Order: sequence, then structure tokens, then C-alpha cells
Amino acid sequence: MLVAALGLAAVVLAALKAGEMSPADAAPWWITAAALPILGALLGALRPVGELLPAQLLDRASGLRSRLANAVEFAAEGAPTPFMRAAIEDAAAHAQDLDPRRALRLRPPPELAIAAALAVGLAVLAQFEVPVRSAVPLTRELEPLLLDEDSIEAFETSLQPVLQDPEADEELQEVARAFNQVLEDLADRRLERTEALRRIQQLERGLAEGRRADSESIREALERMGRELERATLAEAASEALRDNDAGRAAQAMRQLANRLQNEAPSRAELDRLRQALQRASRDDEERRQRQLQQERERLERLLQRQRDAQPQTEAERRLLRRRRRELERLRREEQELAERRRQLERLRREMERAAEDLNRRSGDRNQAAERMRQAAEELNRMARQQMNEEQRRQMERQLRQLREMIRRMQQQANGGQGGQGGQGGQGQGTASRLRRFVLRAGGQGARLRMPGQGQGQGQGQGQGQGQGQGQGQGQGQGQGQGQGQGQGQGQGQGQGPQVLELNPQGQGGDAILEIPGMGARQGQAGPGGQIGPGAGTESGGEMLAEDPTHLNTAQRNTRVEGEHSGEGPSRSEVILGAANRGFVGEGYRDVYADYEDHAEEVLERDEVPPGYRFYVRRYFQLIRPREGTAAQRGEE
Amino acid sequence: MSDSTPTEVVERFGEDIARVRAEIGKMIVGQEEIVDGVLTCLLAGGQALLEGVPGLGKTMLVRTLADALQLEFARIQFTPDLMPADILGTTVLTEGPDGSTRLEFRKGPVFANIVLADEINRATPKTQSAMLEVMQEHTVTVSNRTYVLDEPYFVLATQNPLEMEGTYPLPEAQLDRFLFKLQVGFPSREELHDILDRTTGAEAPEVAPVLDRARILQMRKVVRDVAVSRHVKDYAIRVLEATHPDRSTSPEKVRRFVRFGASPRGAQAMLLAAKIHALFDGRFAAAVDDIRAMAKPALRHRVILNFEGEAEGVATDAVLDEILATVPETA
Repeated sequence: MLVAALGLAAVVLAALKAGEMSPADAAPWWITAAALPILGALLGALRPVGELLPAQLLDRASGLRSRLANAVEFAAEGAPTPFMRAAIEDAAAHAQDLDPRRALRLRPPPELAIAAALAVGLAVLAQFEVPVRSAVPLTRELEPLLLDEDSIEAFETSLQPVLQDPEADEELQEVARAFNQVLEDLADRRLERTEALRRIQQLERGLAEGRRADSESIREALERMGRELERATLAEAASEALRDNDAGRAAQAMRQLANRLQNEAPSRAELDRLRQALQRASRDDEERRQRQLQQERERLERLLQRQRDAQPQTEAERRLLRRRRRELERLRREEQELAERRRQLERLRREMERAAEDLNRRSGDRNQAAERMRQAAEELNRMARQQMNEEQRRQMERQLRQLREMIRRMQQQANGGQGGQGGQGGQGQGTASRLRRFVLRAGGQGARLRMPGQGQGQGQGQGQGQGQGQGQGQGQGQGQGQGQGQGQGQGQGQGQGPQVLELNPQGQGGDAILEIPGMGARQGQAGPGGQIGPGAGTESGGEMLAEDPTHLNTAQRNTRVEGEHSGEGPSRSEVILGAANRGFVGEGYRDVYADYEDHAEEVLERDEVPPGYRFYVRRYFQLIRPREGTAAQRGEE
Repeated sequence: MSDSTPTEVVERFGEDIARVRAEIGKMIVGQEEIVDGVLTCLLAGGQALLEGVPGLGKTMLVRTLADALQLEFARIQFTPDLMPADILGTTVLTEGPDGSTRLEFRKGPVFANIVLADEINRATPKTQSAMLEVMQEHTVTVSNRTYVLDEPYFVLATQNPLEMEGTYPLPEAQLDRFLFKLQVGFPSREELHDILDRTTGAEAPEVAPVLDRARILQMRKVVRDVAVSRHVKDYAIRVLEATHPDRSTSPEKVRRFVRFGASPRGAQAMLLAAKIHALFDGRFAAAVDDIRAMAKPALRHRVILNFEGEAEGVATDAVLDEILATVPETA
């Protein structure tokens, strides 16, 4: 019993320590363990003991050779023989000096050793604190998405107009801040690919929900107004702006027109043409507007009916219903916004109509008409604000798409898209190294950049450039002079699908090559070329040459560039050349870039570029974007 | 005698035994255990098998015993060519004084009170069987006529554990007929001194008869009167059961090395011998200790070892020691 009790106690204690049993559950077992020895003692005390056993014990203890036990048994016989009686007497004679204590000596129980061992084990077990096992969620090592700092900076730069615009839509700013947070997390390597994509999707959904109603009809209305105002000489600027659907410029033109009406004295004919133009422009196509509203309403009602009829049975159907509800909500919001736009348009028309009426009464009411013009300009200003918001929203959507595409392509690369990159195993490092060089050059003089965690590596393949040039101004810094030169650039790509974008190989040692990530290796190096144009200096690219030595055994492509001397400052090609040499900084390059990017976006939106290449075009423009000198230097360590 | 109290009977029994021991002690040095064993067999009415190398005084012991007890003694040297008729006797044609002839039975050496069957394992099984019938039945049947042997009849067989070549080991059934198997050990150095003194001196000790045939038979009756309690019998039975390897109470050594356990004759032998042992000790009832003391000579020839036991050289006494050590006194 003692062993059983100790064993039970050990098991219960172990279960408690291991957390497999609560103290409340253990209580009955503790009681059982404590009761077992007591129960054993009670059973032993209450167990009936015959007469023979004590006699045997006494015989053994006293060396009586079974005299007492025999006597006990013989005494119980009904008819004992003489020998039995003699044996009894003999036993009685020997029992005189017996000491029962000798026969019933307390002896340690045979299981005492086991009990002692268990007790010691129990004491030791009680001293140990077994850590409580708790369900630890499976953790895995964070695999942060490694996006180069330059790309992150590009995205951040694109968000600045929204973030810094106090009049920007609050909802849009909220999305911009969230987008910025995603970029910061990417920069700090706190974001994995999956999480990044999830947050991007969330942002896109937020932008889509906040998207304004389709303002095509309003745009058409403004264009019609512009066409009507075209006939009035006074409103030529406003007409042009309205036809361009540029509400801001139209508002400015309207204010100028109002000032002119107030301060100058236009001829009566001009005023009549303006009045007639304003009257025509203020006409409304009520019937068309009503039809549009009716169509919208009908569509809305159909959706509502579908929603009412829908009895979702499966999860897919429930998802569809939820999507329809969201769509319905969007439509309602869209209708409200459309109505608001139309009210704005209506106010604009009313102001223009009143201005026409003022001009029709008498010439003395020009001031009143001018005031009406200013009111119309205010309406246009509000519309311009909304246009800008829409534009910012579209821009942000593009940036999000661009980022998502970049992440997706990075994943493809990591999954084995290394084919085509000559530098197996060193591709990422090689890319980082090349991007580092590019960004350093793009940032202009003194620009330094920190590329997080990519280590060092080399791209394979080498390009060679060889050229001959004549002219002056070679050397450090900006030089002056004119010259013509010939440059020979030799490059060789390796792997599949190398994408090499050359930024007009110019300058001494100018490495004007861009690699698009994931497109494999490209090598090539422009050779020394001639300088063009006055004031355009070159900067030594000695460092690059040292890192990327010229090889002669590559394919060649010759480029000949001849400069023009227009006398009106640097031409666009000169600006681009300067940017290639000094980095993408400077006001001139900014204008050129904006112009070219707008054109590129226009082409992309017209679907003139295959979808698979749009990413590269946008990535290209992202990389050659104008940079702030300070921004480039921000990467200094 | 019938008026004597048990105490007196036991005391006289003890005195007689002491006298016999003393007489034997004149000739036999040491070997008290063997002497007591032989006396036990005699008083129990059983036979004894003495095992020991030659020269240890086995024959001397039996001869001395016969002299001390005033009993007729015969010695048969068993040889392979010994025939049953050689020991039992044979019918011969005799001519009377009147010239008539008749068949007359000539008794063999078994017709004695104490028979020493020397090296019994050298005789053929046929002769051994004839001898064993005499031992068991105390009768001799020849030519359809049965001759009852005089009591007390006591056969003491010897066998030499050496020189097993050309011997016929006694079958288990025949071994079972012996009450005891006594192993005669080699005397100690002091005992050897005494043996040399007695056997090489000028004086030859003479054994005087101290008991007669009637007294021995009387003593046998006394033995039967000794009381035995149930717990003692129970202990003897449990010891006997423990010699069987198929019993759950058997110790490990029995289960591993024993082929057959002892027969019920083993328990009978233990109990009867325990009574005599109690009388030797002056007690009126047999005790568990008596059973323990008599267990080995009563059981050692009844426990048959298996091949593994024989191969391992396990002694039967070692098996019995383990049995006695493990079987508890109380059930």
C-alpha cells in the first residue's frame, strides 16, 4: 500500500508539473494517495489472525521446533493420542519462558527499499519545475521582400504631391499614407511578399471604392462649352482650356476675361460674340442628361432586384452577393457624385448665362458680367480640384500596379527566372551592384546611395567600348567647347532576353546602360564619345571603367551623334545628354522628363504597347525620373 | 510397555538409540549423519541406498549395525553375472536318508535381517528387479511358493559413483523403493586419525549387541505413534510439490533443471523420517524442522534432473536446498 501510495503520488506530481493535470483534478488523487497507507494499516490491523500463526512465529523465534504449533493443533483435536497430549504438555513446559515480543518484532517491510526510492524520487520531483508547455504558434523565419532603395524612393516621391497637398482629398491622402507606410515597411524589411501584395490589394480596393464617378459626360459638356466659346475672340483662351478639359487653366482664363471686361473696353461686336457664345455654352442638353440618369437608375434597380432575389446557398453565391452589394454601394456613391458634378456644371452654366444676360442689357453691366465670370471661374476651380484629385488617384493606382508588378517579377526571378542572366548565383548581387552604380550616376555629382543588404557581386559578361573623339572639354567637371566625336560602344548580352536600354552612350566612359530586373544579363559599355554642344561638359567615368574593363571581342554597334547649335540654350537632346552625364537632376531635365512621361503614359493608355512591356516602360521611366540632389544624398551612410 | 507413558517411551527410545550409536561408534569414526540415516531407515522399515567411493566404511557400518542389533546379516556382492536365484535361493533336488528324493528350496542370501547389497548397480536389471521385489514386499516367491522374510528386514544397498563403466544404473522406479539415499562423505583429518588408530592398533574393538529383534520392532511401533500435526504434513506436501517443475510454486532452479519431481513416496519418507528424527530429539511430535532435516536424503534420489541439469552439473542437493529455502513454513 505504501509503495502504491508513493507511486500514485509520484504520478500525480509529475502530471501536475507537466501541466497535464490541474490542481483541482489532482486533489482526489492526492487524497487517495494519502489514504492508501492508512487503509493498508487498517486492513492489517483488522485482518483475522488464527492461533496457529502466532504459535509458528513463537516456535521459530524461540527455536521450539514446532512444539507450540503442534500443541495448538493437537489441542484442537477431538481425541488426542497420548503422544499428542504429551506434545501439548511438552509445549506447555517450553512455553513458560517465551517472550512474544521476540516473535513479533517489527521488521522493515520487504518493499521498504522500493518505497524509499519512490519517496526520494518524489522529493526530487517536487524540487523540479517543469516548464509549462504552451501551444507556441509555429513561426517561420521572415523572408522580407528586398526592394531596392531607389525603387522605394521613386514610389515615395510619387506620393509626395498627394501627401503635401493640403487641398487633396482626405480619403486619397489616407490611402497615400497607407501606401507610404507600405513603402517604409519595405525599406525596413519588415514586409514579406505575401503581406506586401495583400496590402497593395487593400490599397487598390480602397482607391477603387473611392473612385469618382465617370465624368465622361461632364468632360463632354466642358468640351462643348469650349467649342461654343471658340467663336468669341475674348474667350479664346478659356475656350482652348475647356476643349483641353483643363478646368484649372479655364478658370484662370475666365478670371483674365473678367479682368479684361472690367478694366478694358472691348468693342460691342466682341461683347456680342461673347454674349452669344456664353448663351450657347449655357444651353443644356436636358434630354440627354435625363436619359443618362434614367439608365443609371434602372441599372441600380436591376442590381437591387437581383440582390433581393438572390438566395445564396453556397459560399460562392454568398461571395457574389457581397460583391454585388459593394457594387451597389459604389453605384449609389457614384450617382451622388455624378449629381454633384452636374450641379457644379449647372452652376457654371447658370453663371455663364447670367453673364450673357448682363452683357445683353447694357454695356454698363460689364462689371456685373465680370463678377459672373469670376463666379464661373470659381466653379471651374472646384472642378479643376476634382480633376486633380482624380489624376492623383489614377497616378497612385498606376504606382500600386507598378509596385505589384515589380514584386511579382521579383518572385518570378527568385523562382528560377535566372535563365538569361549570365551571372548565375550572383545575379541578385550583380543587379544590386549595377543598380547602385546607376543610381549613383543618376543622382549626379557626389551622390551616394546605400543599397541595403545586397552584398557585392558581379554580373558576368563584360562590355567593351572603344572610341575616338576630338574636342575640348574633356576632363573633370564641366567643360566648354565644341567638338565632335565618334564613339563606339560594344556590348554583348548573355542569356535569354537581355534587355538593354542605353541612355545615349555619350561622354567619356559614361556607362549609360540600364538593366531591367529580371530580364537577364546585359553588358555593354559605351566607349568614349565626343562632346556636343556648348556648355555641355563631361565627367570622368574612370571608376566605372576600372570596374568594368573594356573587352574587344564583343559585337559592336556604332552610334553617331551630331550636335546642333541653335543658340537658344540647350536642346532637348543636350538636356538628356547632360542628365546622362551629371545625373537626373536639374530643372531642364525635369521638364523633358515630364513631357516624355506624359507621352509614354498616353501611348500606354492607348494600348499601343503590348501589356507585357508596359512594366518595362514604366520601370524605365521610374529609373530615369528626375531626382533631387538631396534625395540622392539621403542614401549617404 | 503398554503402560508406559509417552515420555517414558520416548526416553527409552532415545536411550536405545544412544546405545546403538555408541556401539557403532566403536567401529565407525564420524559419519554420524550416515549412522542416523541408516538407523532411521531401519526404524522406518525402509531401505537405504548408500553412495560413496570404496573404503569409506559402508560395509563396516552395516556389519557393525547387524552386530549391535543382534540381527542376521548377509552381504551380497553384486556382479554382472549374478543371477536372481543367486540372491533369492533355488530349488534343488535332494535325497533323503531313506533314499527318496525331493525338491528342496535353498534360501538365498536375502533371507537375513540385514542385507548388504554391495554395488547393486553392477548387477543386471533382472537381478536388480528380483532384489527390489524383496525390498518392497519383504517376500520371496519361488516356484509358486512365497516365503515371507523375517522382520525386521532391512536392505542396505551401496553403489559406487565412480567406475560407472559396465554398470546398470538403477531405474527411477527402483530408486523410489529406497527410503533414503545417503551420501557417504570422506572423513575429516581427525576422523582419519581415529580410523588409523583403531584399525592399525593391536586392539580390535568389539561390538556388543544392544538391541534385539523384538525391541527393534517395538521401536518401529513407537515411531508410528509419533504425532504429526497438519501444518507439518502440509509443509511436507508443499516441499514435495515444489520438486515438480510444472508447479507454479516451484523455484526457478526446479523449473529449469528438473525433469520429474518426487513421488508421494517421497512425502511418506519425509514424514516417517521426521517422526524418527523427533524421537531422536526426544520430542513427541514431528516438526517442520524435522521435515527440513529429512528432506534431502528422502528426496535426492527421487528428483530426476533433465538433460540441462545433467549437462550443467547441477547437484540434486542444490535443487533441494533452493526448495527448502523458498517454501514457506506457513501456507
